[in-house]
Amino acid sequence: MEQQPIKQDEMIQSIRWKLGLGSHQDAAHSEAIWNLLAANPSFRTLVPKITEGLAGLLAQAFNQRIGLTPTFGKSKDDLSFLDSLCDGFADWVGRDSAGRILRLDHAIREALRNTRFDPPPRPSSAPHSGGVLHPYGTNTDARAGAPTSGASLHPSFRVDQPPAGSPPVAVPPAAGRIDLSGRPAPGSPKSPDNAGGPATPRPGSDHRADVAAIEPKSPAESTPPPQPVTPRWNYVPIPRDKDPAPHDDSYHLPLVTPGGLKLLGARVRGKKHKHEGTNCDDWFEFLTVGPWTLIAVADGAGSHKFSRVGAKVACRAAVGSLQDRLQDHVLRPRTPWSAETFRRDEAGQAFAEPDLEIVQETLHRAMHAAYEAVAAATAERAAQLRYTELMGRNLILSDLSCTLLLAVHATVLVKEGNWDFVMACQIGDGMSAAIYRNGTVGLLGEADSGEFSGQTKFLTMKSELSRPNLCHKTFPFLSPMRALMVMTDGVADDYFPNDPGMLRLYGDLVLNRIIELRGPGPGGIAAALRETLLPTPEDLERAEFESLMETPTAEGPLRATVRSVAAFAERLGKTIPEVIRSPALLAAGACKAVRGAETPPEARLRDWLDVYQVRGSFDDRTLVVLHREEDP
Amino acid sequence: MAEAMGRRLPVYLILDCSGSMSGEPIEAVRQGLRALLSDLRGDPQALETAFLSVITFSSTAQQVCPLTELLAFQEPTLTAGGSTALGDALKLLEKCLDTEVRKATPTQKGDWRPLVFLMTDGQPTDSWEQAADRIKQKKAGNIIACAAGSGADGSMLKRITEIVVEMSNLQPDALKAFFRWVSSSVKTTSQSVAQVAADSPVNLPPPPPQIQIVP
Repeated sequence: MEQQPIKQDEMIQSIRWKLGLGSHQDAAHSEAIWNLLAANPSFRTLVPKITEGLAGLLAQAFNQRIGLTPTFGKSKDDLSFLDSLCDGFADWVGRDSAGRILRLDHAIREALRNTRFDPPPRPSSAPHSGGVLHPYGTNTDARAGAPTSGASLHPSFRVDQPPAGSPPVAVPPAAGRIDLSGRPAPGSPKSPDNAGGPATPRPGSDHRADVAAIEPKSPAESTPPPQPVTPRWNYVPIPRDKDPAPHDDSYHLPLVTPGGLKLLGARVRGKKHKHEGTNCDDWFEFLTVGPWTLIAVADGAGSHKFSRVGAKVACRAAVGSLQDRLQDHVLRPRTPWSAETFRRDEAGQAFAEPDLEIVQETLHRAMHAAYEAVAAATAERAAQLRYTELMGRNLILSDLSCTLLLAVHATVLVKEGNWDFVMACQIGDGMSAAIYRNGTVGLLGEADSGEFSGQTKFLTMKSELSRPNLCHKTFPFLSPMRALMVMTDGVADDYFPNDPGMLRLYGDLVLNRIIELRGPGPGGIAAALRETLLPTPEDLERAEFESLMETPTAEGPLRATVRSVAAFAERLGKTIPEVIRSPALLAAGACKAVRGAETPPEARLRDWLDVYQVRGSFDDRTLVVLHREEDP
Repeated sequence: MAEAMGRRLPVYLILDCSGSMSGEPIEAVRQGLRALLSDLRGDPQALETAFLSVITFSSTAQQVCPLTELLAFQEPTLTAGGSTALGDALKLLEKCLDTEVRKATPTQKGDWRPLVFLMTDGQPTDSWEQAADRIKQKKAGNIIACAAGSGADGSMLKRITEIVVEMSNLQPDALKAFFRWVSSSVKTTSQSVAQVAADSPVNLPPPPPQIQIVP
């Protein structure tokens, strides 16, 4: 039978069918056409152009709303088409404003990065004063996980605290006011959406729009203090066009997990890589599925040329494997949970309880899957000339050497309330650590030891994947927790020894408002302060526990004030563990007035990782944090 | 932020200050040391990790500079005169490696594997063999021994370490080149410390023409 080519109309209908747009008289026919098209490689390269064309309509709608003349068309019909498109989009935002607005903001930030736009000074009537304590987390309403009713204003010391039920505190003027329903006030600016934002960190992206915001505007800036002439650490960008696998730094949009915890992560190029113009070798991925939160963090070995590829591939494969196996797995409810529940067999390997053993096996399978993925990635690239040329020989598995840390979490309802179940497993250095509700620390890994600072183990060493070894490296717990932190050694080393160093890390994250806590009210905070060497708000205001630090970036030095819980504890006349145990004292340290505009926690995490200085610490830094915003 | 105790790269310079070094050679050593300091201070990675110590030996050995960070390091006064107590120097080195270099413990980050540069221009005048054997066997650091000039014997130095180089003479430019090579070795090592395994061989940059590796 003679084969007629598919008509263009049929093609268009089948594309619309696939996208679920409009009604279809003959869906079966459209489906058949689609299957033919999808199998055609030339068609596949066309698809992005088609979707871009469709998305372009939305861009036109935004341009019109913002006040730019659309090139679409000028007729009344055209304008009304675009208008209703924009309204429809706003409706969609409004149906889940907290999460969706977050992604829109992220997209705007993306668009603003690398621009040299200096926001104008704020008008004098705006509520920003350096001498008064600000509420912690002013913009909590706009953040993921916050109820949209507006009632979640963090209590503050502010003299001009707005009456209960009034509209939220104004965000910095540049962003405009956003009604909590997600429906913008008529005529207010709207933001373009880059297709809702990717779910995984984009390796090429450099989220730097916040740089200008972090720089303090104090007059001391113009006359730098006299400094001995010390050699500068350079910023050398990655040669993207020559590099087959450019990996810059990134942060991930925060997720709210089942169980209501907040999940955020970021990774940055270390000072050394910036100085030498080489890539970030760290990677991380996280995901929630069913009741589970899945976290993977990896560190490519510095001396191995494509270890960053190993790190990325390992994380992705591991999370995919964890997802597949845990999506239908639920822990058996039991009363009570005890140390006995976690007993292992005589060999010290398998857990006696089957549902726990499934989790352990899943972690180990994920390690194996990660290994296989790195091996496959090696084979794929070994066949490519550009890699052979760059290596001067054939690429082998150890060229992609990396460490891998995995952690899974679920909340478990026990008699006392919602507790946290975590099981972690790692190969190589780095650390997973939990801060329990009582303010103590639990390390979920063992530190490397040896006479001199030596070599870590890698995922790519097959012997590390033996059953006894993996069991030895698997740590579970069930406990009420404040936070779980998973990190590469770029961070873990700076908080050594990790017991109790991880407490100090948690404290630093809270004080620098990366971990936002909603907790004690001003009364509780004041009462706690009275027992310290800083009994009044004025004492607190005058206390110094922060330093100005800087790091080179593509846009020049990034400067930020970095708070230290160690210094804060000293000012209070308390030990660090005492401060961590007290949510009120932590809140006091975090509440202190900030200079410069606010940035969201995930961007702060990335900037903090980038900017904090520790002598001799130049490695890439990656940290994933899973935390509760308030005690259950 | 509180300064954590970072991992240091300890660097020991063991310098022969016997009588035969007097005059031009010891002056060249002084200048070489000055240049080394200035060079290392200009490198941000070396500045944060390298700690330097100087041990001199003539009739006896002395640690004229304890292990110090580069910014705080004070140039020692070097004078030449006396015999060549290499054994004494090696015993002193052993003591310093034991007491000054931090070992890794559960609560303390260990230093990176120390770099030791030993330079001698003549035959040892004390019994040094036992000290040499002990040092070699302990593998307490990466030792590079330099036999400078015609009076020195490179193959003898092999008793101390596998890495031996020979400098054909004690001319100022040869000594200058030696110190430049030391500096470049320290920089290279401080750039790769995070990657090198505890017991893998140190990766040194190629020596200048005035210095030959003794196979």
